[in-house]
Amino acid sequence: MRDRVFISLLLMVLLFAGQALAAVEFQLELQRQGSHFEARFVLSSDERLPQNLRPDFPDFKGFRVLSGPATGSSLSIDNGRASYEYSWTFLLAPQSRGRLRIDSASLKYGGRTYRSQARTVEYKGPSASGQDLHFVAELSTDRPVVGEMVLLRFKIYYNTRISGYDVGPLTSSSGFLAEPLQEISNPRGSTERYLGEDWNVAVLKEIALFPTREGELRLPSVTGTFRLPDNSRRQRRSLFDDFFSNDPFNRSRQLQLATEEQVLQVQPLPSGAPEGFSGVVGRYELQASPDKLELKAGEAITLQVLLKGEGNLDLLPLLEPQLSDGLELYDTQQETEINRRGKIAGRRSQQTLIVARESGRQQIGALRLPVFDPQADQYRILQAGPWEIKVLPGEASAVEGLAPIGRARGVTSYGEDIRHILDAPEQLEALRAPLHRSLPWRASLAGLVLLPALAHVAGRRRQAHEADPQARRYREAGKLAKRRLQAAQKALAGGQREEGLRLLDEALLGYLADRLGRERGGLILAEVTRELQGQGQLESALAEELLDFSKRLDLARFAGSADGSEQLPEQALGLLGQLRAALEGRKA
Amino acid sequence: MRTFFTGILLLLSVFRAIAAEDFEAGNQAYSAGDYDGAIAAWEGLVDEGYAGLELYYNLGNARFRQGELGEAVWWWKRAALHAPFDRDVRKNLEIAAGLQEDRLEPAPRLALWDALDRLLWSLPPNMLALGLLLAVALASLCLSLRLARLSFSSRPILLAGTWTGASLGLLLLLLLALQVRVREQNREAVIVAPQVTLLGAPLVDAEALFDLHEGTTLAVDRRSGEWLSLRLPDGREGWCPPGGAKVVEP
Repeated sequence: MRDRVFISLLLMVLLFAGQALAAVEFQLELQRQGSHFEARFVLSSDERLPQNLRPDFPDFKGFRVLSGPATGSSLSIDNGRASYEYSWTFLLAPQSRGRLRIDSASLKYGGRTYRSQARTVEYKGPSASGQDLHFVAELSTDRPVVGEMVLLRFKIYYNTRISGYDVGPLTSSSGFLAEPLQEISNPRGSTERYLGEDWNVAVLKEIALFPTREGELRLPSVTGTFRLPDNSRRQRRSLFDDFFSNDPFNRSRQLQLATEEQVLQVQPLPSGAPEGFSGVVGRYELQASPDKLELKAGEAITLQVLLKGEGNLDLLPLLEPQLSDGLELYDTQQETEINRRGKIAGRRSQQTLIVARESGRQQIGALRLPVFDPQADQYRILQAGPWEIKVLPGEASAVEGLAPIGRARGVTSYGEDIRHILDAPEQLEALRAPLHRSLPWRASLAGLVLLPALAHVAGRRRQAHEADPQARRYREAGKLAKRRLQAAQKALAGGQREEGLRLLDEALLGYLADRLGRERGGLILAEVTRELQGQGQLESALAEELLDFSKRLDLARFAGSADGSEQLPEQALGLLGQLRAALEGRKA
Repeated sequence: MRTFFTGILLLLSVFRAIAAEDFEAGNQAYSAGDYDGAIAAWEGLVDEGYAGLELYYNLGNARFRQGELGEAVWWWKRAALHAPFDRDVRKNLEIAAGLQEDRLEPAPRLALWDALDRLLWSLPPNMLALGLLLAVALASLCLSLRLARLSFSSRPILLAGTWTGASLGLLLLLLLALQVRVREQNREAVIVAPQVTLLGAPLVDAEALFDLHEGTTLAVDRRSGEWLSLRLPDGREGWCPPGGAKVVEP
């Protein structure tokens, strides 16, 4: 029970706290609409409020209420936070000229009373100019010095609704640089006195001008085109909220207005400019520092330089320091960020790479930038540094025998010339057709391509021959006989008489058997000789000689006669030659 | 027969020695600032049928020194046909490009194509042709020995030789064919007249299209007699009258 009471109390406290913490604002927005005024009471809250809320409105003394209150509500979400807006709008007609007061309205909610502010307006009757719109060009200053930023604003003073507009370009830029500022996509209205009266006013476009020469500069007139709806709607917070939600029937009219020509009297920069002044005008700050103050020879330092402020940042010079001999300046990279919101401001950051070449105490000289500050109307010198750098001996120079790191400098080019002629007469070659177009090359290539085909044919023939042993015997008979004769000679010389004589017989008889295609077994040399003689293949002298050889060989082999046997191999060789000549047509 | 060949060789070596002397004479004239003399010596060699990177390159230099930018570029371009990646030639052509009046933006090209170009032109055509012949010879001999059904025909080395020769031969044949095709398709001409107006047709009274100035190199589209149809990198084409441009030949 006690817990329930505690939780209930806690919830109530939280609820009240929530109510108390809920941000609620109650305001009066007043805008002139021609000869009428629009009074809009706006209640803003970050939580949803009941729909039946109704403030206590003032009595609008001095005004006649033409219409109202027209109620409206809206929800908007910004960065995930919802905000609610409830409005009550009256259209009021002043009943007399002079100062008129609208008292505050009050609203009770959550045990609190919220009050809008009271407003006093001065009504002098219908607009003196007879116009509901004035398109005006306004200069931030009309007597700038050379290089000073001048803001040119295009403003619209209005007492009527505007559903769209277009501001034309500045047609001439003689004598100044013009930098457009950020585009105003949703102009905000406010109240301002103009020509002795209160007007609604909004800035439509802004341009930053930088005069480049002294004297009188004329800025040409700029034309603006405005679209005015015929059928106004009531429930709006800004006069420009309707830009993209026009009357569905497009009932509007266009009005073109031009600004007056503006004149700038550009003053020269005052005398006494400091040394090194290069014409930089603006409000700037300079910050710079090296990333380290101690390093080894051969290593690099980065000098970070930051210039920030207002002015023409594009004209800022590159700032590079003077260095002592042991330091070498390398590349400098810079980056400029320009903010164009309401004026030209921004920052330029530089990164300068410096390489330590020699050990010892080295110096990075001070950075110095003289500028003219137009707001203070004086010259200033922006300065950073100098810095002393301690350079320790590097790795390479610590090793004995190595050359110290030199004072290398960039190579200066004076110009460029073509390369010198080539002196190589031995490279001369006769101009001839390329090799691949020559006949010998093509013929060789064709021959090489055909060669495998020929080899294939030859191979097949060879295979065919090898497949016929009779033909092979016939073809190789002479070769085989010669081989046997050599073996016989060797055997005889080695004392193997019997074997040698057998081989002699084999040689001649084998030859004849192979040539004649006969079986060797049972073949007798004398018989074959007579047969060949009978066929007319052997001449009688050769036949006689063969018979004689056969007889002597038989005597030597079977009777053991040694008479003349040593001449037998040579005689057999001679006979083989003669036989081959007779049977194969060879020369003996 | 031997005497005949010896005589021919002797005669050739004599001619070669004379040519080398003329080349050297041109070099000396150039070094002495006598560019006319240098041109006469070197062009004499060209007329005699000599060619080569050094000869063409030197002629380009001499023409350049004479202030004839178009002729200089033409000779350097000829030298580049012999050695496409010679640093001297390329440097001189770069310098000439900086002096030319016509600024023609080359068509954008991938780095990959440059690398392939280098590969393609890394060997001169004659060397490719010779290599191709040797590769085919290797493949052909190995294959022939295999097909001849000899006792050693089945040895693996013959199979390896056949494949190696055939693969190498195919690669070299491809490179050679590409070189020939690229060279034939990318024929260039150099404007040698100080200024020349390209016309819409190869007729004297044809409509004038645009002007070009000496040293500008363009692609040759086609010919009609002595008229050349030239194509700019942006695709525009026009006919160049005789004498206005010279085609770059090897």
